Amino acid sequence: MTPIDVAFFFFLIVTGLAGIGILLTRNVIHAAMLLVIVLLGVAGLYVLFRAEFAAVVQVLIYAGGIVVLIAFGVMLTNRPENGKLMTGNHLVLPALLVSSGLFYYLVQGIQLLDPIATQQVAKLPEDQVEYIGAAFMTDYIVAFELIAFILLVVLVGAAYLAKHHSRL
Amino acid sequence: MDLLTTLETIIAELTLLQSEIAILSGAILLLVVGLFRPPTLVLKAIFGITLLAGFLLIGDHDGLVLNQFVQLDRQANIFKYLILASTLALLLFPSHRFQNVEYYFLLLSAVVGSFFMIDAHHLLITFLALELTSFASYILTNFRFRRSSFEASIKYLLLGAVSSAIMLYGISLLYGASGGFLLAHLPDSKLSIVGLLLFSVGVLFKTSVAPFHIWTPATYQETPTEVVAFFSVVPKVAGLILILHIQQALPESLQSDMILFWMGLALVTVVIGTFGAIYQKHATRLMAYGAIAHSGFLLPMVVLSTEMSFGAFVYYAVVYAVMNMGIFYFLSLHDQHQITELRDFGGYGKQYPWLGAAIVVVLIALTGLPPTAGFTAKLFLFSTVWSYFHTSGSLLILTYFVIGILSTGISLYYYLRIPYQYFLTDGRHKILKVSKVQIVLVTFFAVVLLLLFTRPDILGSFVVTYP
Amino acid sequence: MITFLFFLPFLLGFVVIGVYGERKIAAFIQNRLGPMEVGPKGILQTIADLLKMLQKEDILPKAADGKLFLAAPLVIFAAVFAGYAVLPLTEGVAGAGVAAGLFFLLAIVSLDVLGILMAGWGSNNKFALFGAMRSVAQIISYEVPLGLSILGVVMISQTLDLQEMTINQGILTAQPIYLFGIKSLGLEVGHIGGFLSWNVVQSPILIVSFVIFFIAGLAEANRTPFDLPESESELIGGYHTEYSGFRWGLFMLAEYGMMLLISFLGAILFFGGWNTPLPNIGTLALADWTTGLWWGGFWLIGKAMVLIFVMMWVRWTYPRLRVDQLMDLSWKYLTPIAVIVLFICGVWRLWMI
Repeated sequence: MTPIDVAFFFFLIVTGLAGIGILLTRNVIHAAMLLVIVLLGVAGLYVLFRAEFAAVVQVLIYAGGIVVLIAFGVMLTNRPENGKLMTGNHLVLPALLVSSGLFYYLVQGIQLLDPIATQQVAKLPEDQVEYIGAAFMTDYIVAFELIAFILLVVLVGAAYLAKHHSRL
Repeated sequence: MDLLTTLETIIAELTLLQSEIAILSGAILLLVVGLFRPPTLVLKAIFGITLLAGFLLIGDHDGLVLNQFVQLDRQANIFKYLILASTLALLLFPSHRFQNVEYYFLLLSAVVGSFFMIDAHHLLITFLALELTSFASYILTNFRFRRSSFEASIKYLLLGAVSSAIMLYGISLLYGASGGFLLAHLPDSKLSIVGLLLFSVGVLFKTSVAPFHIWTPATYQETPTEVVAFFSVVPKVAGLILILHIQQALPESLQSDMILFWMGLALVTVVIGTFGAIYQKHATRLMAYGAIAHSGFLLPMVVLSTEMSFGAFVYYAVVYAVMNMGIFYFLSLHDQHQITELRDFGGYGKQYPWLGAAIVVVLIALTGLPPTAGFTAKLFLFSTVWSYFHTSGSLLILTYFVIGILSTGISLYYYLRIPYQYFLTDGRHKILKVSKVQIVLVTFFAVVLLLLFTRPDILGSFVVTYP
Repeated sequence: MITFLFFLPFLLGFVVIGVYGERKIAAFIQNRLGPMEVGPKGILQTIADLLKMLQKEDILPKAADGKLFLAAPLVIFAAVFAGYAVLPLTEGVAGAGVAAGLFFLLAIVSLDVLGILMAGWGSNNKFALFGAMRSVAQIISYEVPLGLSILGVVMISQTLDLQEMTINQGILTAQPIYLFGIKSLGLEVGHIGGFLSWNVVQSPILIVSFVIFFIAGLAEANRTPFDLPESESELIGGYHTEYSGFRWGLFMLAEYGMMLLISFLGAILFFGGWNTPLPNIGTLALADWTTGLWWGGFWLIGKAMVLIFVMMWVRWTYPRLRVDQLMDLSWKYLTPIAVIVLFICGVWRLWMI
């Protein structure tokens, strides 16, 4: 066990436990906070796989953005008397079936195939930031511009809905 | 230096997307002009000019460009024209207070999204294009600003978000299976199939194919009628072309598996659409179920690749667009006088007999009976299915064939409920005012449908030019 | 690791001095004496207060959500403190060598929002919840101009690594530095060093960036005039209403930690980091003489302290903003200006340097 292995299994176990925690807890806010741990654990795995930039983006966008949005959304809803917003577990059996089926195919697929990791890790460039920046402006230009436009549409839509709502 | 040459190629290739870029710029121009609170006429003018510019700038390049992200398909260009024409037709609809800058901006962005759905080759673009169209649609659903439309919009948003999530998961499985984002490199494995099935959820959601159709009735009921007309044509046609491209891009071995999947869903869709419509009391809702059934009819022509399937699809799609524009135009005329429930339609046939007669033609076309183009479209459809059945001998295809014909019979019942109310009952509880121009427009739609029946070759020449 | 060993005690020491300093500055601005009784000139007042705070009972309200309530202060402090991991302290001492260091800092610091949410929701108290919601809305809104203003610096200096960014602002740089970043003037100041090679002088447009950065930084640290989340007069302390003892102390620590972090960052991004402000003037090689391991630490901390002083000065000068004014300032003024400045920075980089 190298230190890298130790770190790998640490992040793996933390991520897995927190993920199971999300499934088991019925408290919405607790689930959101556990989600942060999952996301941070995944970010840690990214770092171990030498994808630092992806890790930072993961923390910035997901842990710092999306989960805050979720928590904020929860807080804007009506607060129940005991201060705990609970949810239930529905359709446990079908969900179990679907997810175990997916898991089966996933495991099977991974066993059958060349793991992608071995093919591509070697190709990671030295300066990731520069590489990603250049890729955005060359290979991925259409996707990049499309995302920019999507964000504009969402911004306009959100502003419009918010503006209008106050007038009602 | 290497980077510079790459950039030059990219800039050169971006000009191939000039139509999309024109519409995009028009949309942004609209936003900027909107800051100065211009009269609606100015907005409409910019909207129309943008669409016309997009119309003129559609190129005829064929092949993969921009690092295989974009697939320009000359054959599919006809659907870009169709999309632009349908969107332009929205200007004919009666004016409303909510038609402001944001309204036209969102319509244009949905058009851009639909264009990219047609252009997409790389899965990333597919996803983004779908999202662009979806986000615009979520907001457009809400433009009536009623409590119920918020509800419909939230439902649409939640279901849409879930379907996008499933689609993304599918894409990640496909990436794992093939090591890339191109469908052509998929290996023939179970993982690919699971990935493809999950991936297709997002597309099927947009085209409202059962069982991903649940959002359609509620959304159609609450959305402004002209936007419904838009929803029922533009994203749907683009989504079907996307399915066509997905199907074409797949390796041979996966194609036949997927055909079973698509056809099974098409069958379910036809059944659900037809039987769902029978019990509807709300006119737009009824049409929503009709639109679902039509999704089930349109789907086989894009997935079964026979000699005539593409031509049949073009014909059906054009006729479908005309029919839907016609019927929703008719409904929006009534909608602005709060005539929305089926029983509200009672008796206006005596007031506007000519309007009623025209709409009967449109509805008969929607059913798929002669002497309208709807019949020809169905004829093309069923002969496509039949010829595929001959080559494959699959029982599923035969079942589809039989069920499809039966459901056409059933649909006659519910489509004719509007004329029934119009002519044979008496009510007229609300005041309906329809101008001469508006009657002429509905008649125009009806005439087009009759004309396409007698002269299907008008469209045929279009199809033949791009063999 | 060195930075960790340095920054943790430094932060603790800074809070003690900072609180005392703040009281004295407040007193000076209001023309009074401030703490005078404990020790000479009241210098031990903070320590006495600290001892009192530590002895307080650690209260867990009955209605609170225990796990969230207890974890919240730790999350906030950990998030803020993690930001220090990438700060370059002096020449050759730079903390974690992350290529995307600045980006990492922004990311990890944004996590303190989660702690605030946990505290606000976990307390199960409407004032705490209001405070948390105000705070989160404020922090997220101001992250936009903050990020945009920092992006301008990144564009000019072409790196996300804070140590590299610092080196490029002094006499140790390998790149040529032109006065005001205008190449056509032909005045190469790389060997002169001093304040002439700082980013704000290298490309003067960054002065605007700095103002935006500083205002947004104040808001990020929940400092007056942006202290609505904890305004005593309305919300009796906001999200830390229910806390006492050491947990409350952690909130205090995090607030001062954030202030210090913003000041360090401001110094590094705009004012040369650990580079000396004194230029080489002919044979009077002031810059060469005042550059070195210990000098570096001295200059960086000195610059940060000046910025801290400005923050305290602002606190005792300006009144608190209203919520709508707060949002207006961020979205209607700072963000558009920051976007324009970012654009100018790009053009500057392309055509001038």
